[in-house]
Amino acid sequence: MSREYLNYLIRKRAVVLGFFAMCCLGISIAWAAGGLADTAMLRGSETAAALTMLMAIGFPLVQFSYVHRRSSADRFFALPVSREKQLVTEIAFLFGSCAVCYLVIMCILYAMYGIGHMAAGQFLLILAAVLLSLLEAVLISSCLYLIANSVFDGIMICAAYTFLPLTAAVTVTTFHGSLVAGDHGYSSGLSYLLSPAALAFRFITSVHNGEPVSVPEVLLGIAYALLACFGLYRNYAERKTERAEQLSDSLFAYPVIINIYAAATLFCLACDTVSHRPDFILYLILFVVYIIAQFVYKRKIELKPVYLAVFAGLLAVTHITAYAGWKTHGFGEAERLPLPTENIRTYDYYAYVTPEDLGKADPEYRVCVRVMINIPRGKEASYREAIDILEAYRKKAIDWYYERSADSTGDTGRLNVYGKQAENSYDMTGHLWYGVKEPIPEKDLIRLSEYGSVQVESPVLEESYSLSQYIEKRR
Amino acid sequence: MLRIENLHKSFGTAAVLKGVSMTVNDGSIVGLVGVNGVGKSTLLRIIAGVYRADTGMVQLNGRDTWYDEEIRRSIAFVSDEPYYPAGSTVASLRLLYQSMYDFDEALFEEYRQIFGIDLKMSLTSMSKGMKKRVSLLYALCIHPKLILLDEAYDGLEPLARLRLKKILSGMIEDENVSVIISGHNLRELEDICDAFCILEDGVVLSYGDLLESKGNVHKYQAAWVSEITREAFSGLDILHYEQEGRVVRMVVRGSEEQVREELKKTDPVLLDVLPVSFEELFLYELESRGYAE
Repeated sequence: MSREYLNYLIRKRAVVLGFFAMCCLGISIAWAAGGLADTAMLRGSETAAALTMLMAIGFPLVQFSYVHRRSSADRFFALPVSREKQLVTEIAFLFGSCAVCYLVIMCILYAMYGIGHMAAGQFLLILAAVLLSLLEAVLISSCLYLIANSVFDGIMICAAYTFLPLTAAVTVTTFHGSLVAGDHGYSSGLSYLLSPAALAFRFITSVHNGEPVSVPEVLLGIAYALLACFGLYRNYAERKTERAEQLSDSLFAYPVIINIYAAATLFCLACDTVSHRPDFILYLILFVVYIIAQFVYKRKIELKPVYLAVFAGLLAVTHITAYAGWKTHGFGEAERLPLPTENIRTYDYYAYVTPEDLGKADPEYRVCVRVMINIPRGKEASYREAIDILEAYRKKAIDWYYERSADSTGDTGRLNVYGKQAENSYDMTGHLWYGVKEPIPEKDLIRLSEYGSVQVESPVLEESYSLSQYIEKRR
Repeated sequence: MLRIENLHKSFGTAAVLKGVSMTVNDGSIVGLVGVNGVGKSTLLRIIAGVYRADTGMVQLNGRDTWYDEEIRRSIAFVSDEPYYPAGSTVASLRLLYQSMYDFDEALFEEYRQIFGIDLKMSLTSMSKGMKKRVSLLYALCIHPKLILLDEAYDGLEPLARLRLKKILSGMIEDENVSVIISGHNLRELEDICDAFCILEDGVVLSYGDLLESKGNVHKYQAAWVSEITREAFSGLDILHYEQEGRVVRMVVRGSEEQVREELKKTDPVLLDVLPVSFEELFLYELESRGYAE
């Protein structure tokens, strides 16, 4: 680290940093003061952490902007300090600024609201967690910004990488929603794992709330930071200064980012198309957006054959993959019933049927049959017959999902499978649901009634019977 | 002494420097010239440690200018496009030089007066010429051993040029500094430089003492009784040749006496010898390699 350079940076930015720290302190105190005294410290601490995290993400974009301008690169890369030392000094300065700003605010907050309300141990744990997160944020934000060759591209690439985990999550969700029968859940877990910022904010929140911290997630965050160190070395210490103000055409810049986004979006469209929900206008819009993205990258509007070729290639690959996914029932995902993680697995079924035969669909919706069977974990053997009936029925529903054509009429009912902690709980996890074409035959309903509740309702008359009562009444 | 050996630099697939080698003696002012895009700024940036050479070596007083921080502290580089952050003033820029270089406050004050620069002046609202003056001012106040001026001499008004020349002369006398000035205004460079280096197609085309080189190239104007052909001068190293009837004007490299003797053998009725300027030297060197066309 270069002491002279650090000294210069501190003196250069002292006023701005002081002003920012004062603003953060003011906002944190205002936030802390606006509520119960017991939780004031926690509120203030969370606010200070959030503000300094934003600083850790945004400040590198200001600090490293000289790298992206030819004239400023001339001045700063001609300084009598080696690139490695300059990099370490820059990072130390960025992290140090955020850390000092945060620590000053926290000490003041603790003196005002913390004593007697927050244990010193928790206070120190929060400090450690936030400081670690700040370091990660500084490293990753700096690394992403330096992938580019101009200020504008740097901001664009930071934004693109920030939203990439979300795009990945949407793509996986679309795959599950369209190609895996029964699965309609949002895969937020993936976006968390791919997003260092989300991991850091979750880590900070957990520590503040006194919740258990996920060690693998913390380690993953550290792994991202280490990866960023490698990226920083490549993009700063070994940087070719002449890259300044050139097109951002490095491997991890526009060429890859544009095509990843294009591939992800095309795959989502392909999933919708193969599952009989095509929207062809979206393909056209995507192609236009693709060309605009190439304009942002190359700074000139042109329709090169290579763009068409790459787009067509991505179109083909994504559609072949989606089609293969459709034909293999979501690459086998649809057949798999996730292992229960909760205490109870519930099969919840309803269908609109005729009053005369509860196993026959009724387009007039005269009678509704509802089945709810709760199977406690570890007692599956006692429910074997019910499970067999319902699993066979689930398989039929899966086949119906993949066999239906674009002009198929609507479902006559639905089979839900989910986990819950207690019988009366309303919190569902791992919720799978299937539209059904044919209702469960009456004889199976009779067998299922031995394992759980089977209700017959008449929506028109607002009456409800157990299965046995209804059969008796019908006679 | 600055020693450059076999320097290569490419931008992508375009090779800009293809084996540049030269030596700059202490106390020398070298004019670095060449056509646009030939690699003058690239060479200066490599010497300053801004760009890294693909291969080759740059040493100042035996120390590598890329790796050695101490030697870089004694290199002042003034870029063709000086950078000033928005809102910065002449005074605010001082912090960088105070922190990173051997900045001399007394010299700064002295030169500031000479260049007529106000400390409170906003750099962003300055004219191009004034910005160059500020860059030069700071470059001169750090006790450099080597000053690299990338087109920083071009565009200075005559009085400022004269003042700079005076300051540089003083620095050479007192501290034995070396200076490399790149530029296109060769008449201005001729005023100040004692050595030159012509870059062409990524290599040094010609390099040496300016007076010596100029003394080795002369313009000859001669006339004969009857028309003469160029073949008659096949023994001469002709850089430029033009003929109008019986009158021939040519630029020849070589000792004036020897060339004169050679020409006398053809019995001219008139023979005049004229010196060449740096600009002419540059033009004729390039012309002899087919650039004039």
